[in-house]
Amino acid sequence: MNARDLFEAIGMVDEDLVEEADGPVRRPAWTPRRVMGRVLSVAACLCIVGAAVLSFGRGMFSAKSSAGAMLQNEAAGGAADAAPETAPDTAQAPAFYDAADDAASEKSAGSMGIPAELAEKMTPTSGAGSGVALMAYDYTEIARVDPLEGELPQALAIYRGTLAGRCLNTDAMTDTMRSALTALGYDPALADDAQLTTGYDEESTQDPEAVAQSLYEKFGIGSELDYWSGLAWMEVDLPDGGSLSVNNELTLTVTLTGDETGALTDAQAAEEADTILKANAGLLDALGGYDAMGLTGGDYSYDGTRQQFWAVLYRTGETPSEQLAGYDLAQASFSADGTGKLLSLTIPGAALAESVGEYPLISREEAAALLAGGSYLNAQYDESAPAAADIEQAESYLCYTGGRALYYVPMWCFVVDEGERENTADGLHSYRPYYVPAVSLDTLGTLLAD
Amino acid sequence: MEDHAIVELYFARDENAITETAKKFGAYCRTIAYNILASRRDAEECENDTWLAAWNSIPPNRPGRLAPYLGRITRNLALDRHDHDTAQKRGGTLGGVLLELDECLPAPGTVADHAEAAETARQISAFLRTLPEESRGIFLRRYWYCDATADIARRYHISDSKVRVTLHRVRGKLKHYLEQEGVYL
Repeated sequence: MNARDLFEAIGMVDEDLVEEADGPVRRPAWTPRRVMGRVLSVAACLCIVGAAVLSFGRGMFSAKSSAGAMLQNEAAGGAADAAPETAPDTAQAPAFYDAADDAASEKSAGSMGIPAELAEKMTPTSGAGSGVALMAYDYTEIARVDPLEGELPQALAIYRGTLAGRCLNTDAMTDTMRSALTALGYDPALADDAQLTTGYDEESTQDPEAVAQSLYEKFGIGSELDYWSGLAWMEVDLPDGGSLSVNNELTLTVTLTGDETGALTDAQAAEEADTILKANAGLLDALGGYDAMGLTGGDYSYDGTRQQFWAVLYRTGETPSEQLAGYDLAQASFSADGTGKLLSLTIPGAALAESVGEYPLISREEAAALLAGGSYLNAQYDESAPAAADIEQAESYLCYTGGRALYYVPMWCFVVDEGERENTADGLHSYRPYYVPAVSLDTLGTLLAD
Repeated sequence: MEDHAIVELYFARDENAITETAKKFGAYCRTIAYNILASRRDAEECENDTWLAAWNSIPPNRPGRLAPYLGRITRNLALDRHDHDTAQKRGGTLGGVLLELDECLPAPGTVADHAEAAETARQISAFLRTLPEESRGIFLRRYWYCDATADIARRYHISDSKVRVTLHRVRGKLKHYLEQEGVYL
C-alpha cells in the first residue's frame, strides 16, 4: 500500500462521516465573550518561570531551547510531573521560533495605535477577536445575546489567562483533571494514571534540535501561545467508558458514553435547553456552575445557502464582570443525546482565567474616537480603521474576546457593516468586528508592565 | 429540493434531475475537484462528468444522501484527471496530502502488496469513529475533501497550527490503529 492507495481508501469511508465533516461546526466564529463569575476551584498555574523569562515583544523573541531538554528528560524516563526540583515546568519555546514571523502571518496579531507591548498581551491568538468578518443578510441574524442586559457598568475585571506564565502547566493540569473526576463522581486519584503527552512529536526523539526543527517545519507554529497551548495534554479513560483530557491551556474535554446516533443537533439542543440543563444539573454545577444555554452564530456561507448555529453552555452571574465573563470566556461546547444527557463537554482554559482586579471603563464615545483615530486591536492585520461615519452607525457592545490570550481585557466591540462583497450571494453583507480596549491605555500600561 | 425528490427524478429518467443536482451540489462538487486539480476549468469539467456519472448510476443505485455520493464520484474523477495530466504543473493540495499520508504507512518492506481498499476503508471508518468530532472533521476535510489547512482553520475557527498538530496526531494514531488491526501485514 502506498499513500495513494491510502488516499483512495479514505475516499471510501462511511458516508455519514463524510457528511458530518461538511456539516455545521460547533465553534463560534467570533463571539464577544462574557466573563463568568464563578471559576473552578482548582489550583492556579504553579509553574515557576526562572530567570530565562522571555522579554516578549514583536520581533524580540529569544529563548533557550529547554523544550528539547524537557523532552529529553521524558525520553530518559523522567516524568514531567516529577520535573527537576530546581526548575519545575520551566519549558520555554524553542529558539527557532521567530516572533517576527507572526507579524507577517495572516493569523498574527495586528494593532493600530496601541503599544505593541500591550497589544501582544491582550490580543487573542484564537477564537473571538480575530476580526474575521461574518456574513449575514441583516445584523440581527448574528447579533449576540447581551449578558449585561442593557446595563453599562462603571468597571469591569481584567483576567489573567492560563497561558500567562508561558510554561508547562503539569500541576495545574493534574489539579484540573482531579476536580473534573470528582465532579463526575470518580476517584480523583485516577488522575495519577493519566497519560501525559508532552511535545509535538509523540515519538519523542532524544535530539532537542531535531525536535525543534520538526516543530517549525511540520507545524509552522503561528504564535507562542499556540505553542504553549498544545505543548502537553493529559488524558485518562473513565471506568464506565468515555474519557477525560486536559491540555496545557487547561482546556477540559469530557467524553461520556451514550447514544451518539441520537445526538441532538445544535438547534434541537437549544429547543431542549431546559431539559439538558436539568438532566445534567449536578455535573454542570460541579464543573463550574454552568446554568444557561444559548444559541449563537447565524453567519452564512459565502453563497448564502448555509447558516451556522451552535448551542453553547455558559454561566450567568451576579456582578457585571461575572455576567460578561460567564458568557464570553467560559462558553462550553457540548453534545447531548436524545434524552438530553451530555455526551461530551469542552470547557475552555479561558474559563479558569483569574481576575486581577476591576478597572474603570472608558465610554463608548471615547472608544469610538480611538477607533476612528486608528487605535484598535484586531488579531488580523488591517490597514486602516473604518471611517468615522461607519463607526457612528456600527453596533457596539462590551465584551471579552475569549480565545487564547495572556490577559483578557474588557473591550468595546464595534461591528461595522462593510456592505456586499464580491463573489458572495446578493444581499449578503460583511460585518466586521473591531475591538478597542475599554480600559484606559494608561491603566493597562501600568497593569500589564512586567 | 430534498435529496429523495431529486433521486426520484433520476429514477423517473427526468432530465430535471441534472438541473436540480447541479443547482444544489454544483459548488460542493466544484470545490472538491478544485482542491485536487487547482484548475477552475478542470474542476468544471469534473463537475459535468459527475452529473453524467450520477445519471448513469442512479438507478440502480439509490443513495440515501446525495452529497457524499456525488462528492465521492467527483473526488475519484478528479483523481483520475490528476493522474492523467501529469505533464502539467499543478497547484492544489493533493501533493501535500499524499506526502502527509506517507506518515501513516509503516517502513518499506513491511506492507502487503495490496491491502483490500474496501476493507481498509472500513477500518479507517471504525478508527475515525473513535475520534472526537472536531479531530474527525479536520482529518476528513484534509484527506477526503483536500482542503488547505488554512481553509480548515477558518472553518473550525482555530489556528492553522492547531490544524496541523491535530492532523499529525491523528495520522500517528491511524498508523498505529491500522498496524494493530493487521491492515499492514
